[in-house]
Amino acid sequence: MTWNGKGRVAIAGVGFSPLARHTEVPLGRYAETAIANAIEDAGLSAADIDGLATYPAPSYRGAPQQDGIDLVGPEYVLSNCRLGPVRWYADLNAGMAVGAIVQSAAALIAGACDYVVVWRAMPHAKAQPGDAGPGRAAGADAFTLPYGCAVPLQWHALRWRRHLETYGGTREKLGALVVNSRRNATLNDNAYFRDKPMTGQDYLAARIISDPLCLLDCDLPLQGCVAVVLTTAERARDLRQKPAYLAGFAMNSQPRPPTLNYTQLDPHEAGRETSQALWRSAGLGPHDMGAAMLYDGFAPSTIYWLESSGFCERGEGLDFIQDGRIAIEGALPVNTFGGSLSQGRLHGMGHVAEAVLQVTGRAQARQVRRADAVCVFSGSPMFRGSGIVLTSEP
Amino acid sequence: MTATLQRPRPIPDSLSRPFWEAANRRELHIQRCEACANWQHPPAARCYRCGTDTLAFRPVSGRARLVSWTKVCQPLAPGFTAPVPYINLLVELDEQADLLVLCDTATRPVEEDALRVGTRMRVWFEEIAPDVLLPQFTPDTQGTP
Repeated sequence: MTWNGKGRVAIAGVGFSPLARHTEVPLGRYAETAIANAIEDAGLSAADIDGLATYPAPSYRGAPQQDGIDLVGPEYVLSNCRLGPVRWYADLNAGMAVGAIVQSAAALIAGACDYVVVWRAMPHAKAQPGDAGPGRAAGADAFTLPYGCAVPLQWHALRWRRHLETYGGTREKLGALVVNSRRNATLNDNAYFRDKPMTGQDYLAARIISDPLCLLDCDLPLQGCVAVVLTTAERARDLRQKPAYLAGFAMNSQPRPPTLNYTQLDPHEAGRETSQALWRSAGLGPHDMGAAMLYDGFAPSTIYWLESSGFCERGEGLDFIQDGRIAIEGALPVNTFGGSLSQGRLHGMGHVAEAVLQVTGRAQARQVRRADAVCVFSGSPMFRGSGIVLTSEP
Repeated sequence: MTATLQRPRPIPDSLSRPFWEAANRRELHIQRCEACANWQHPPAARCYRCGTDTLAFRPVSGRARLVSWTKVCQPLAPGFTAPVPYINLLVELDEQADLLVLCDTATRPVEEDALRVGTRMRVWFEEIAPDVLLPQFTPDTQGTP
C-alpha cells in the first residue's frame, strides 16, 4: 500500500563542505560548513532549525569515536552550530543516510519539529579491522581474520566472482560503470574528481587489489560532509528552492541467516525485498524513474541494485550499463553526480543530494531530461540496504 | 612491516568454543539443529531455519567444493603482509548448500589457474600456535566428485 506520508515532507535545501583527501582541519568544521550551506540554500536561518538527525557511524569498526574528530554526532552540532532551539534530535546508526532521512520525515509528520537538518560527516581514516586487539580475533572475526580476510573489499571480491562465475562478465564491462561515474563527476563542482577524466583504458590499467576488483572499483575515501534540510510540504512551498518531495521509503528488515560476512548473503534477494517495499511505498515503479542514484561503495553494488530493483533482469546488469544507457543522456541515468566512486565516499548522502538537485531542476550540466521522480538506494543491498523516492510534485 | 605471517589467534566464545575445541583435535565440527537438521556457520544462538535453540556441534566430512576465491595482491589484513599475494578461498561443505567456510593459501600455496568453481576440496588443520589449530582447505587431488 502506498505510504500515507507520501508528498507530506520535502527536502528544501542542500549543502556541501569542501571534500578533502588530506587535511588537518577537524571533521566538525566540515559539518558546520555543510549545515550552514544547506540552511542558506533553503533560505532559512539557523534559528529556524529545530530538528537534527545523522548517521554518524565511524568509518570502520573499532575506530576512535571522538565527536567532532572521528565522527560528527548531534552532540557536536548542538554545542557548536547555535541552531534552534532544537526540539528533536536523533543519532541513527542504521540505514545509512537514508535511515536518517526517513526518521526525520516521521518526526516532521508527527509534529515533533518543523525544520530538520540531516548530515553525514565522513572522516578519512584508513580501515584497521578487528577490535580484539593486535594478534587476536574475537566473535565473528575469529572465522575470518586468522585467514587474512579483513576488509570489505576482499569480501566484495569473493561475492563479485560468484556473480561473474554465474552470469559471465568481464572487467571491461564493469569499467563502463566506473568510466560513466567519472564522466559525470567532471560536470559536478562538488565532486573530488571533477578535474580528472578517465578512459576505459585507464580503468583496465588500474592496479588489482583483491581480484577481480581493482583500485577504481572502490569508492574514494575523503573527508567531507553533506547536509540537507527537511520540512513539511506546506512549509517547503514558502521557501527559496523548489521542494523535492519524499514519495516513499524502504528499509531492509528481512531475517538474515548466519553467514561469514554480509556480502555472502544473496544481493538479489535482499535488494528485491527492499526495492519492492520502496515501489509499494511510493506507488511508483522502476519505469517511472528519470534517474537512479545507486550506492557504489564498491562498483558491484550498483549492479546488484540495478538487477534487484527491476531496472533489468537478474544477471543482466553488466549488459545493461553498456553503450551509454546509464549516461546522463541515456535511457536510465545512473549516479549523475559521479557516485561515491568519483565524487567521493559520503555513505549515500551524495546520492541523496543529487536526487534533490535533479528533481528540482538544479543539476545544471548534469540535468537529466525527465526528472519528475528519482530513486536513491543506499548501502549494498545485503548490508541492510535502504531507499527513497523523491519527486518534483507531491 | 612484519617479515613473517602472523595470523591473529581466534578467541573462542560461548557460541564458538565447541568449534575451536574440535579443531584443536583435528576435527571439523559444525553447528546443527537437532530439531530440523539444518547446518549453520558461523554458530548462532538459534536455528535460522526453524527458530529453535536445540543446537549441537556435529562432525562433518571435511569434504567441500570451491565456491569463490580472490587473490589478495597487497597487504590488507593484519599479520598478512608477508604472504602477499595469497588467495582467500570460499568453500561450500558437502553437507548442505550455501554452508560456507573461509580459508586461505598463505601457508600452502595453490596455483590460481587450477581453481574452478566446483573444485573438490578437503580439510586440513594448520597449527598456528601451540594447541591452536585452524581448519583449512586445499584442493583434493584424490577426491571423487
